[in-house]
Amino acid sequence: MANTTNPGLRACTQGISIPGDTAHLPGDSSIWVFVIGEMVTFSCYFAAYLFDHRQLHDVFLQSQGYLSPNLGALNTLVLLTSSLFVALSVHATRAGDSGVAARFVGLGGACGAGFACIKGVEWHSELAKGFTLGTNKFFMHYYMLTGVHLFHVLLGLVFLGIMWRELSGPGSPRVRLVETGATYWHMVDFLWIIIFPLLYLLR
Amino acid sequence: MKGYFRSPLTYVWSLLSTITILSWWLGTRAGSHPSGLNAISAAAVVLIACVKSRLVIRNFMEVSRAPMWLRVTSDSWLALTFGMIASFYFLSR
Repeated sequence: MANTTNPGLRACTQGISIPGDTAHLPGDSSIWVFVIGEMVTFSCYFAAYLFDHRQLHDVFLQSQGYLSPNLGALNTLVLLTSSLFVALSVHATRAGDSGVAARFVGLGGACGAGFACIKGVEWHSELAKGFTLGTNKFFMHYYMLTGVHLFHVLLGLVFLGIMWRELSGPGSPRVRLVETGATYWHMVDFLWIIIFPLLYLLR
Repeated sequence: MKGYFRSPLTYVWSLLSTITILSWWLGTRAGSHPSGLNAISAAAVVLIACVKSRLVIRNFMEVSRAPMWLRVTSDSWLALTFGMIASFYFLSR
């Protein structure tokens, strides 16, 4: 484990810049092309949802009342916590603490798996009440948005697995690979931050 | 491992968690009526989501230290997306 003489850990805990540290693009540039593409794609989903919300205000208002904002908020807290662990794993990787970084990635992955389980419970509850993809436009958007997002979470768990393997293996881990996986995971987090109020709170 | 939790990222996470709970409270308790959220609560929920997204992008994704083009792109996307959410939502009321 690194001590406070480690410049990477010192930079992490004190929020100071490492000498010579100017603008830095975390991860591979191709992940940023992907992230920006996903941001645009999800904006189109949000626009389609908002358009139908405006057209069918009463249907949406009534249907939103059947969702559980408590589970939505819990999932937000779980995903934020996973993002913290993954961000700390990047700092630990830079500081040369591969073992600690691997543990942070494991904790982040556990939170991600928790998110998927909570989503499963929520879907099961909605389906048990008889609300399916074909019930109305609101539930079509609900299952589509949360389903596409859940797919991204599951893909993110695969990336976290790759990061964990990289950090647990012999030799120095590739910092850029860890940064790339972390960037993807944080994208999954901030997309949920927008989906949560859209579906559950803004009635 | 504990040393890493003294990072500014932990404070960002605390803030994110606190305003998530505030947003949930506004959306379910304080401003909620059978006819929907009151306008002030709805505006606060949208603003909190915007602030949270930017905190994640700037701090966890480290865009605050990224090249200018990425900072401008992410801020422009946030402005457009939340501008769209606010205008659609409030026009439909």
